[in-house]
Amino acid sequence: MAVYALSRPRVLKDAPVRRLRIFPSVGESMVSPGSKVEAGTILGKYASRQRLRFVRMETAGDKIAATLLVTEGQKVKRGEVLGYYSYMFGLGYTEYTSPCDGEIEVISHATGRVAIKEEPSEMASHLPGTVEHVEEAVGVLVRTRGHMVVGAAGAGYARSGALVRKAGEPTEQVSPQKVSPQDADRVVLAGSTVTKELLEACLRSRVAAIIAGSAPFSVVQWYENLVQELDWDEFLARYWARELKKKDAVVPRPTEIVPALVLTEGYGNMPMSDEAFELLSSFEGKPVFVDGASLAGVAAGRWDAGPCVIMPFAGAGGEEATDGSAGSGSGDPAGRPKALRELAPGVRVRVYGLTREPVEGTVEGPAQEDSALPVSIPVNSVRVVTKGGETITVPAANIQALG
Amino acid sequence: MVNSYVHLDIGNTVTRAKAWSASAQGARLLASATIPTPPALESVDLTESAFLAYTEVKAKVEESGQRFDPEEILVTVSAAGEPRVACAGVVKGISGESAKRAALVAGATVTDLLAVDDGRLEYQRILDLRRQDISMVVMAGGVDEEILGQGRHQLFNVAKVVAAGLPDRRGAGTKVPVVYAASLEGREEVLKIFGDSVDVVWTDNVRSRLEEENLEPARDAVLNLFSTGIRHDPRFTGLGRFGAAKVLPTGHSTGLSVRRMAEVLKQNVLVISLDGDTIQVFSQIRGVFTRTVTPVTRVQAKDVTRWLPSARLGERLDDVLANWKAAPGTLPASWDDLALYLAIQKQALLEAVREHSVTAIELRGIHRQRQIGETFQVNVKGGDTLVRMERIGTVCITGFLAGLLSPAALLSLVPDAFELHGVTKVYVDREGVLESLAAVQEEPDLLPESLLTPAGVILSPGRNEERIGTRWAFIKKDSTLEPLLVKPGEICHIPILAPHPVVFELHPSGKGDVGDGEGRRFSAQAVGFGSAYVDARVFGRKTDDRYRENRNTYRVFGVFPDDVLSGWERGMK
Repeated sequence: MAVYALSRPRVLKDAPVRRLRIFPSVGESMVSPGSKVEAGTILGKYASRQRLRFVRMETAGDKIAATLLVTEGQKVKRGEVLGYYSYMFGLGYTEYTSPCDGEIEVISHATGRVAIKEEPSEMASHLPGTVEHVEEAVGVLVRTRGHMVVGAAGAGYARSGALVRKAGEPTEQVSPQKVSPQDADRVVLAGSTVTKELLEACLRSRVAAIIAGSAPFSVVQWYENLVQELDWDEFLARYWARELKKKDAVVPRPTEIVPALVLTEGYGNMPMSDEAFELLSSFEGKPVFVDGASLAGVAAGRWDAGPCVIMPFAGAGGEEATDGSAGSGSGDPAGRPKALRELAPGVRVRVYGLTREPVEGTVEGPAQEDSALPVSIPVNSVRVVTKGGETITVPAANIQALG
Repeated sequence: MVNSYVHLDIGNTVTRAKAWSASAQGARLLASATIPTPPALESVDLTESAFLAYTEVKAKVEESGQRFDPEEILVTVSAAGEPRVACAGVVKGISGESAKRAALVAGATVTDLLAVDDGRLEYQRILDLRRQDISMVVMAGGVDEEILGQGRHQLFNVAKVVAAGLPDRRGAGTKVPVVYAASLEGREEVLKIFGDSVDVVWTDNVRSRLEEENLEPARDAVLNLFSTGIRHDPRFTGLGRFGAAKVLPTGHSTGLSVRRMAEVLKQNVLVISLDGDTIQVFSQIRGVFTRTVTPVTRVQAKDVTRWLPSARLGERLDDVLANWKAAPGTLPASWDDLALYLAIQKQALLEAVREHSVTAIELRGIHRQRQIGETFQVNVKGGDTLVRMERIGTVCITGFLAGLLSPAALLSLVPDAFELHGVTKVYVDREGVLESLAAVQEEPDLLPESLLTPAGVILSPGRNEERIGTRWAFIKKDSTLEPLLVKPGEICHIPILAPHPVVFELHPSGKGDVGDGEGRRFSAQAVGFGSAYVDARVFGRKTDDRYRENRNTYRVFGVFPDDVLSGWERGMK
């Protein structure tokens, strides 16, 4: 039985939600407080991760031997020819192309290097709502209303898409064969544990995000490195996506190359909780917001930047969600002390952690002072009479009051 | 005259209420209650759980039929409401460390230390500062006089970084204040740099002269800002229902008790607070009080493996450690989980003590006169650690986990994490007494025997002596000296049948030092202990089977049942 002394809510229903959309590096906001945003609204621009990209051309002595087609300060597009070098009486030919959109910053004739300042990348909201606050250079706080599944762990940046259910039940492990290119830009609901093979299949099929119960720590670590390091060229080289190599193919934003991953239970081999699976399943085909919170580290101590899945209500962008209008959701953090107070005799409760399925029962009274875990750790507990008539002592943190 | 007090501690994991009565005879705990703290989101009133705990503890005391109206309420806060402070100094190891120490002794959590030599570029410092959720900045640097005669001082560069990087204070929409505890001469120029963008609280310089460190004014300024700021925090607006309650950071409250205990005992004292997600270490050594806070997220799986009692447990270590870092309040519910949990705690404690040793030091940067005996020594420049275990006779474990884990489990963490030396008395603060005593106005004589649970006495030769024999440790009962059992390379348990005062005496070899100098015998009295342990293991020795050694250690301390230990030995699940 997993016992949580820290009563962290796992699922919030019908609750006001605030989400800090963090710029991956120093950013500039393009929205102002109070403005309504949709999933596709651009919140701001940020300097790309690499800032300067270099192309090295053939040199002879202290000058570039290749024929240059660009000059310093000129704007270039990804794939645009910067210069060419013909040798062996025209038998050999090399073409130098721009690796990104940007501006020619410097051309060094001595070294043959052409430095291109990459165009700032755009950051989409992915979450419909209202801009509550703009934190200069850091990010934008978006307010909305909806359901939220709090992730125990995750990786990747924020994405959104229509939810597609691949697992029939929370204990099912989804095989990589179940993911196909038809799932591109969708959010995959996998059951219990995700494997490296499944993550690679999702990456290859350009899935927007994956939600699962758990994954081994080593796999999440590998995936986190991939999130940080994989750029578009590397992706094309590694995953041999022929259709994406076409010149007119749309190059995704740097944060949208690797799908977001959210684990609802944590690391290891654990099935997704029934409550989270049921809630997510009920949103099949509808758009959801997923954030793997790879950027939470740069906003240390922030409560609004951890891994999560948000299912915003339709029209939430126009709705004023305030703290005072907190929903009646069972897992509302504001309601937690209230729920504890309500664990009086006679209150109907749902008990988690006894079996895979939650058990319903009625509170009989507070447990004895000496109630303890099997390893002798004392915990706050109550006595509950289950529907089957059995009286059990359960830590208060494992109980949800049913109102 | 009997006075009554209530202490409410709003912690990260739980909120505890304790009712106290204080009289001329000392303080007495009447009742306590514990309620889980809700997550510290902006929309949550954290005082709600404190009110529930207060109601419960009041009801418990009144069960006896006597009305209970506390004369004073002390509220201590560590759940997201504690002061989160960024420190700034010119040289990291001199003024930077002083600013950090001032913030820490006030009970704050230090989120960053900005200094000219911190290895970052200026824009990185500004960006790092902006991204943090902090409640104030403590700034130090430069002595009081003659800093401006030497060209432009680096202090002003630090002030520019602070002015450019200061974030808005969250929630209240006000500015983040700066406690200026730096050069007196630089104030005018710094004020020009800050302009109207910063609220400055001027205090005395922490290093007005290089040879002196004066932390009190900066500490008091941090505490004042905390006390006024917390009442404007939307999560603590409910504090009004407790009247004019005194509000302190929990770390500061515990620190006051630690200092008091060291004064009463006239000994150096080390106190560890196991808080789940962080480990606080307090020490009062040679009159110098130091507090450090170490996050447990620093622990790496590869370092934890050496503390496991079975190789099989290592297969799950990565996952368990990562889950526990994500949710530090999760408690172990099986023996396997407890073994992993203790191994993680042991490593976290080891790292916390190491960090404390680096922070609790003689002042750096001072010009010290060499003694004749130091003529040929190279490292006589200040900055030596004060934490030498042969100087420390009393170790106390407090905090959230001290009330949950058994004294035996807590005691088993100590020998490896501390590398003990000499006679060390280990106490456990199961009721969280240390953090409460700041509420008691008539300060009782804080003798650990009267308020804390004596867990055990550990006798260890430390690193000075590799091998010790049977006539190394003695116990004096009824004025007769009896040798204690010593097994080279192992820990031995010595039961003390009567909880009367006993005296332990150590007879080191000519080069061995157990507290009173090389070759000198050392004796110490212990009251109320039921067990003593002679740790004759050699520090740093590579063992053939570290799992077996860990199992033996746990067997001696009685942490796990024998059948669980033998199951691990046989490799059973």
